[in-house]
Amino acid sequence: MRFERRDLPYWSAQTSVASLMLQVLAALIPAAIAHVWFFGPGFIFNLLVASVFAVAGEALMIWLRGRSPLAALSDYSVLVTAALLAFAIPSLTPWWVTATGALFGVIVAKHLYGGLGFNIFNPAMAGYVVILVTFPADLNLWVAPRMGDIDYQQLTLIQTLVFTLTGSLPEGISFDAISRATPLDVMKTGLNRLATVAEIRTNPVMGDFGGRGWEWIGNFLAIGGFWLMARKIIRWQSPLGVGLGLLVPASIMYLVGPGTNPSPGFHLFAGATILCAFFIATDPVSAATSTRGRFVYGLGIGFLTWCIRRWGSYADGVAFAVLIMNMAVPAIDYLTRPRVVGHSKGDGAGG
Amino acid sequence: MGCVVQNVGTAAAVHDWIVNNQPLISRVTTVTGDGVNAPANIRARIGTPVADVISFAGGYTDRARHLIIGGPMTGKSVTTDEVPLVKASNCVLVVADTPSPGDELPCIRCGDCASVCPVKLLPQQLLWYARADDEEKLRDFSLTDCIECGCCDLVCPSHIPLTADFRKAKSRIRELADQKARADRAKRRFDARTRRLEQEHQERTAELARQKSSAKAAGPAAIAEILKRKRQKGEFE
Repeated sequence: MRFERRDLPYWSAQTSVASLMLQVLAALIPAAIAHVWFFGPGFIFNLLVASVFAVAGEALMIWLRGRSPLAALSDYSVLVTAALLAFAIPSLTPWWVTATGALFGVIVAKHLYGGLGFNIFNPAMAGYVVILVTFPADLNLWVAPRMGDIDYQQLTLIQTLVFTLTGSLPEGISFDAISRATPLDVMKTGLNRLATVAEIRTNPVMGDFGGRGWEWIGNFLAIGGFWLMARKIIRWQSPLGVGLGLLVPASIMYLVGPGTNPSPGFHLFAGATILCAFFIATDPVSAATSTRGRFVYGLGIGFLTWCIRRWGSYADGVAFAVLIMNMAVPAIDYLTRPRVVGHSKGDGAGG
Repeated sequence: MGCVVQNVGTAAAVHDWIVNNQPLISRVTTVTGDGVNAPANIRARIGTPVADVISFAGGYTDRARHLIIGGPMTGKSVTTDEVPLVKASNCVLVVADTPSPGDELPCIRCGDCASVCPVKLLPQQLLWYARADDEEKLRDFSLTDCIECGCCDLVCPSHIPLTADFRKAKSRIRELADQKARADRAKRRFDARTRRLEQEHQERTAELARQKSSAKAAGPAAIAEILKRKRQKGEFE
C-alpha cells in the first residue's frame, strides 16, 4: 500500500496567536469596566477610535505589502495594541490624537519593521510616546475620578462623544472644572515646590497608596494579569522584574528620605506600573525571550521608570522605559542564553 | 548528567542477551493509529515487512493516509509499507489526515519553545538563523545539540514546523561540512601531485645532466661503443 509522505509535526499545537491575543483582551475587561466607572465613558470612544484606526492602518500596510489583510487581521494582535493605547491615554482625548497614536504605532513601529513578530518597539508605547510629545496638552487632561467625596463633574455620554469628535467642551464647562492633575503629576509638581510627600498626599486625588480610582484600575489589571499568568499566557519573570526594578530603589530612597520620596506603594499603584508589568513588559515580540532575559528586561523597565519619575521631566516614565529597554533586547537575549544541556559553563554555546 | 535512561525494550533485550544468551532477533512494536483496525503491541522478528505486521493488527481502515515509522513526535513518514522492521522500530503509526492547524504565522517570540526544550536550546533564535542559512550562528547556538524531539512544534502558537526546519538546517550543515572535507581532500591530492611532478622533473633533469657529463668524460670512442652495443640489442631501429 502507498502512503502520502508528510512533514513534521504530525500533531498540531492546541494554541494559536489569535487565542493568545483574545485572552489578553479578555484579561483587560475588568480593568476596562473600572476605567469607565472611574473616568467616564471616554475610554470606550478612545478604544473604538484606536481600534478602527489601528485595524485600518494594519489592513493598509498588509495590503501594500501584497499579503492578505484578512489573514493578518485575524490574529487580533492589532486590537491588543489599540486596547493598550486606550488604557494609556486620558478618557477625554480628541479622536485625532488617538488616531495619530494608533496609526503611528501600527504603521511605523509595527509594519515598517516587518509586522507581527519583527517589531523592535512595542507599538502601543511607541504610538503613545509620539502623541505624548506631540499633543502634551491633550494628554495631560485627566478628568477627576468618580469618588464620593472628590469634587468632580462628569460629562454625560453625549458630551463625552462630542468632545472626542470635536475636542471642545459643552458651553459653560471649563477644563478646570472637570480635570484634575494625575497623582504622579501632583507628586512631581509638589516635590518641585519643595512640599513634603506627607503634605502632597493630603491632596484629594491621593488614595490609600497611589491615586484614587487609579489604584482600583490597577487592582483589576493585576487580576487580569494573574489570570493570564495562571493560564501561562504570560510568565512571571517580567512582572516580577518590573516590580523589583521599581520597588527596590523606591523602598531604599523612601527609607532614606521619606519626606522627598514617595512610598513604594505609591510607585506601584500610581501611573501605569501595573499595566506595564502585566501587559506591556510581557508583550512577547518586543521583550527578551530567554527566561533570565525576561527578568532582566523587566528589571530595566522598572528601574528606568523609577529614574524617570524621580529625575525626569515627565510625571510617568513607563513608556520611555519600555522603549529604551526594547532597544536593549538583542543584547539581553544574547547575554542571557541558557546553558545547553551537556555543555560546560565556559563553552561557546550558552552563557 | 551522570545517568543513562534506557527504554523497556532495550532493557529486555539486554536481559535476554545476558540471562538467556539469546541475540536480538525480535522486538515488541506498538502498532496503532486510527488507520489500523486492531491496534496492538506485537512481538515481531526483526526484518518482518511492516505490511505483514499491520495485517496481523487487523489491516488498514479506510482512513489510513499516512504511515509513520517511529513515535508520534519523532517518527519518519514513509510512502510504502514494503519496509522491514528494524531494531529501532518501536512503533508503527497509521494515521488519518489531521486537520491543518491553519497557516504558519510569524514567530511572536513568546519563548514557549525554549521553555519546553529538553536540551535548553533557543528554538526561536535557531529558526531565525536556520532560515537565514547562517551556519556560524547555528553552530554558535548549538543546533547540532537538537534531539529533534518535536516539543517545540507542539507548543508553537504560530504553528511553525520548527523541527522540520531544524532537520533541514542540520543536513545542510552536514552537507557543507562534507563539501568542505571533499574540497580539502581534493586540494591535498592536487598539492601532492604538483609536488610529485615537480620532483620527478627535477630528478629527470639531474639524471640527464649526470649521463651527459659522464658520457662527455668518457670521450667519443666510448660513446660510439655504447651506441654500437645498443644497436646490437635492437634498441635503436
